Amino acid sequence: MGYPYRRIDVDSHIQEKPDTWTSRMSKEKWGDRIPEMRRGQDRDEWWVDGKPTGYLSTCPAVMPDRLTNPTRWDDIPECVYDATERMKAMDSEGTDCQVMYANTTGVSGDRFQGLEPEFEAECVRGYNDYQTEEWVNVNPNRFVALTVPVYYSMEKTLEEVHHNARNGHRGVMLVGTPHTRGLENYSSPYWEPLWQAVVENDLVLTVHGSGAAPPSMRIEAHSTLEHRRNDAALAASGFSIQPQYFANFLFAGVFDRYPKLTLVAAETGIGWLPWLLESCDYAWEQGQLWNKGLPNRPTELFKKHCYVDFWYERSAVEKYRHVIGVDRIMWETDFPHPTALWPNTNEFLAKAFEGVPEEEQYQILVENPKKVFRLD
Amino acid sequence: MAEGYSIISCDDHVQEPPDLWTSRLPKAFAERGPKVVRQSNGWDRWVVDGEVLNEWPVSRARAISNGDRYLDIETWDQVPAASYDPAARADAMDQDGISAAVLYPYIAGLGGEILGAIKDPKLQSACVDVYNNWLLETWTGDRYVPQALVPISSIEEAIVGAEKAVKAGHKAVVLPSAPWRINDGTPHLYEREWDPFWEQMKDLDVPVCFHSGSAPSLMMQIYEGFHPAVAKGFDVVRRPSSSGMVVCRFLFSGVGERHPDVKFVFGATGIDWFAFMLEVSDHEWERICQKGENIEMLEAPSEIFHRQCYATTCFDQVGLQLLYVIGAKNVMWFSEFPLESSTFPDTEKTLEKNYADVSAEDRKAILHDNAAELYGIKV
Repeated sequence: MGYPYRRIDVDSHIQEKPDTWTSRMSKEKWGDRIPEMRRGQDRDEWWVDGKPTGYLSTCPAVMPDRLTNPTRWDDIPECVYDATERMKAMDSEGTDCQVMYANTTGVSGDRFQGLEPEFEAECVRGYNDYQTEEWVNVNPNRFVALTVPVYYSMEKTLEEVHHNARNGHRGVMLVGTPHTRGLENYSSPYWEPLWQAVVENDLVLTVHGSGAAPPSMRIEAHSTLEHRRNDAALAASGFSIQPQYFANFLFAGVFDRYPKLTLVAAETGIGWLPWLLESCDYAWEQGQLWNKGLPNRPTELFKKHCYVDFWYERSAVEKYRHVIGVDRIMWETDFPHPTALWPNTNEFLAKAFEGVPEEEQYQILVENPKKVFRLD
Repeated sequence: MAEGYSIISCDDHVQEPPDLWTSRLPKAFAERGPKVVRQSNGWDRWVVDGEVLNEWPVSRARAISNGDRYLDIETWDQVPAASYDPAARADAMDQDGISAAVLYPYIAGLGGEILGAIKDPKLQSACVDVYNNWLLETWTGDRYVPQALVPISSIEEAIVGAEKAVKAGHKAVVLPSAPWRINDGTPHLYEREWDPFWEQMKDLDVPVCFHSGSAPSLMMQIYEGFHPAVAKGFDVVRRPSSSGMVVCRFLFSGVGERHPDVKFVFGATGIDWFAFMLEVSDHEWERICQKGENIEMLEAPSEIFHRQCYATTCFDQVGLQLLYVIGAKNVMWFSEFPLESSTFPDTEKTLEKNYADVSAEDRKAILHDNAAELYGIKV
């Protein structure tokens, strides 16, 4: 008998604990470089590689004013970093399962990329094992882990993928623009072994939000921009980056060469998808790109290989869901991040699903993610 | 005309002739202004102040030239007259059912960003003058709507340049989307220092126009391993996508609120993503800007957009289903002739298909009325 899922949330964030790395990395070898939460005079923050990060936790949705991040570890509600408490929070809203993205490790798993190779590898392993041991193993029906890759060498990338596939991870969480981080563009043959390993291990690729895109791809705040405007603009404008990395994958021919490869994009929203599909198809037709190494129409590739999700949209769910494909759409809460629906999840869902037949709702909330993340 | 009214393209590009600046700049600048130089690989490239523009084909008029639409034009002799000659262009427009076109540059930058990046203020100003004068002298008559560039080496020059150009007959001012990224002379466009410029634009009563791609560093790099045609295809997607960042940031910037009478056109954005942008921007405005003390952003982004901004659409069809969110009076159609992504020569067929479910009133607004009113177009 399969788990009776009613609602699966494909993008939530877990907070790493103060001992996530200190309990897993050798103090003799790494000393005070080990990622660690340290209490300070004015504030608590994570230290990584011997340097303060200025970061503690992103969880405003569960803070009293629903707006401000905590500056003290003790002020962080347990449901942010503890699986048992998290399940209680999920139960209170009717969410059965959460796919996990990180906090301290970076929403795109990007925190350690580019650091000293062996250090990167061990920090990444620490996070991945933390997910397995302290979340998935608490209840594998209710928490889905995505592997943060080690990036510095393909050999290590593959090693990390295999280690975590054996431990039940369901996907690999990629940065969106590796070529801006000293790595190869995803269009490069360099990545072929990874695509191969992902397919062989029945995993999916995931990219979260704008995939840790470089600051150059965002219009910077001007000096007098009021901070709330900046926060709002930051949250609202990320969609402009997503079609670009998506198109990069599509035009790289990655899906043409790996018919079993799946790309799951999280925190996308769905309303901009028609732009991606129409413009890619238009270009493919005008440029006769089927003669230039891209035999498949981009929209067809998208509909076979890609998934997107929404959380608070309305007009696109109503008007665009068939254009995109109901079988391509999933749903998230982004708990406990700033844009999280908490504690009004049910209200938002009801609004978004007005006029949507129940079978389609169920497909979005349950069937699609069950298939994608291989949940029984 | 099948429509019963004329179709206006609110964003087409003129091709500057190779001798435009070499023949018109003062002697001191003639060799430094944009010019065409045959490269060692046999290709013609524009050179600006000593820098070879290797990313720019000599012309992008592939919609009307022979050969594979997405492969670059290599030499000037391949460039069709309709890209730089008004009479030849008029014939092409007739062929495609277009009555009038609002003009943007090409090698001066899709949104003026190439000239805007010239470091020497005097050279930049001289080059801008040459472009603006040529546009007015050459592209005359009711079918062509000239839009001026302004120097961005300083705000004062931009203000003076705008007044001069509009008084001479230009119908709008084109600004690069992120001038501070390409020129050290001016601060971030949304800093208060620019307020006198927006005030000037209000007095001149013409729109300010941005063009997608005029902030090149905003876009994802094109993978150098792509087949050239695939690279072009990727550019078709990335360029309007990046304008989503520009529009969204603009709406939160305060500029629209402080200058409610100035009209802003966002050229070559596409509209398929526009309803989404308005919806999520309003959502974040409510969720963040309407909380806490001293609430100071009093208007929702969509309110600002509807009051004074325009989105532009070319081949989009799906976005038209959400006109009730975007606002039919805030959308203008464009061809982007003669760039490779233009709907030329299939504009009539494309419009018939794409607008099949759009009301006659909305269709007329998008294809004609909005641009006609904004630019005073009489055809």
